[in-house]
Amino acid sequence: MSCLAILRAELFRLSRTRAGRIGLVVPALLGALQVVVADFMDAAKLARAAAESGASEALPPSPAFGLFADGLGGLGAMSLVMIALLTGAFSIVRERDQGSFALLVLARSRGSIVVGKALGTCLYLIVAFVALLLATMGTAAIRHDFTAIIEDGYEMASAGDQWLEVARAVGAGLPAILCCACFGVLVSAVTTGVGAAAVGAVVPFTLLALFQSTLGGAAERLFITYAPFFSERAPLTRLSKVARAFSDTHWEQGELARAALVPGVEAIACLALAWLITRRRSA
Amino acid sequence: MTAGSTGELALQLEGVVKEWRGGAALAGVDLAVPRGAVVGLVGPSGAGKTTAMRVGLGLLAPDRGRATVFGAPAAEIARHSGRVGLLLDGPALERGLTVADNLELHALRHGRAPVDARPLLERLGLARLATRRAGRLSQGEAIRVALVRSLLLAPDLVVLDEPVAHLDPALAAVALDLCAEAARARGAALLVSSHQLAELERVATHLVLLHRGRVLLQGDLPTLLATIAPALRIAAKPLDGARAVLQRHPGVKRVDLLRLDGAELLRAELAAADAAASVNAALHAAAIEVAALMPERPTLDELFRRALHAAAVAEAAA
Repeated sequence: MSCLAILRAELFRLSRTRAGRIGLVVPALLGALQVVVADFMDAAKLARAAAESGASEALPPSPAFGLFADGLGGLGAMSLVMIALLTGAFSIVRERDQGSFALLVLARSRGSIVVGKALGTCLYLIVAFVALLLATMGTAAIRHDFTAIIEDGYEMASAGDQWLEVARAVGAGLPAILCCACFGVLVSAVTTGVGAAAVGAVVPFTLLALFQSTLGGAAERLFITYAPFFSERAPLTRLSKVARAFSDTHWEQGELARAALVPGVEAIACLALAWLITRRRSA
Repeated sequence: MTAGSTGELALQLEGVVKEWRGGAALAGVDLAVPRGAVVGLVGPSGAGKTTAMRVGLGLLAPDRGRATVFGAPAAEIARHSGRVGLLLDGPALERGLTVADNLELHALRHGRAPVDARPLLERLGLARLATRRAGRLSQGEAIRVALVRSLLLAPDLVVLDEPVAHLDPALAAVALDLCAEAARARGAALLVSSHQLAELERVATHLVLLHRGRVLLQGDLPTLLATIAPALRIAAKPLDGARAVLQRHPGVKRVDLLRLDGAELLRAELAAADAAASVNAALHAAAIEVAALMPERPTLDELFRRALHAAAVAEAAA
């Protein structure tokens, strides 16, 4: 596969540049920070509740799952979405800007360049996501245990069930983040400058994310709906409630499958369009 | 181009036309770069040199005509990954990566293992900069790194657009020598565009002169230089007497007065190179005091100016 050389080169570039390294660490740091803040708020809330009820004994600490989910689907994930959009948006246009796109065209076919760049960016994002996952999990585990949720002596959800929910949310939520990168690659193929690419990727995405509720049923067919960026319907965002076993929160029929499938199809469509555009434009 | 080196063509343009909104950038260009040749691509700014290179490498589709690289359509140039080295549009380095990482990235993109670049870096005085970020290099340093990159994978065709524009004369000579040596050593082809004609003349075996999207001259350089009539520069007293003798001499086609550094000289264009001796004898016979009589070496610069002058005259006549 000739795109593997581009993929390897892309990973090499992202791992050696300062911006690439910062992009790996920022989501993890933000996720961990959010866990610490959420833990502090929870502790304050528990202390207030204990003081108001006049209980002499401290309330038992809640399991780590809720805090972990807060960190995983919160600011860290939002920053990861932005990084996905921008990394994708810069992937081709930056090469054109600095004059190295011609060198790429001598090395590999344009299709391989588009696919290699997209796959390289996706692998980079997966590594950043794993870092976010481990950072939030580790931070949550500092003061809490990943144990079953028990209310009034009744086990609402076992630890095994909770891990399963986390796995399902990750499996359904990650494709939308990766699709953001592919959307960025499409914008990168269309635009002619780095600034235009950044604006072209971030502005329409943010506007659609903010006003997705106005789209009605059509929102279900947009990957933006499943990206953890101001979207209540994103699996990673909803995990926060699911992990706390809120009675009114559960995955709807086919919701997770749709969350994985829609971004997957749209990612392929974005890359196909990017390839067509790149093929027609001079290097 | 008939005077090839190995016969096999590394790059060829046949009847290539490329039009922009402002007119034709290339108006039916035929150009051949044989393997083993160092082809100098020269022409005034806007002549179409860079466009010809872009079309030749499949980076730009021609409106008409055909471009091939190693006999295959230029649009499929990726099939020859690693066989073509390029410096076009400036250094094109990743500013956030070090020099060494930039070179490794280049090898990776071609699916190659990292190559030891130290010998090339040392030749161009870059060895101490291997760990410096490309964004902190001067323009000249960055161009030299890009030259190393273009030679790194031992390509069979190297295309360089203005490679020495930002280099001092000494470094420009080293850089062009390095490229020419690397090409000669493996029988590779080198296509170089430059406005520094004296430097180019030292290394080029062939020449293509473009003007307004057309090829004005093309061929092996010694043959083209031989088309310039031999000439003598003569410092003599009295100058008018010398001029009269020269104008009467059957071996002299034309006499011009030159002013160089405040001194007046005569330039005598000869019908044949062996007429110099009889010219000297005629001046002595006329009791002209000859202080200096120097054969003029035909240069690429002279060839360039004459070709453009002839083109301008032809255009004016048309």
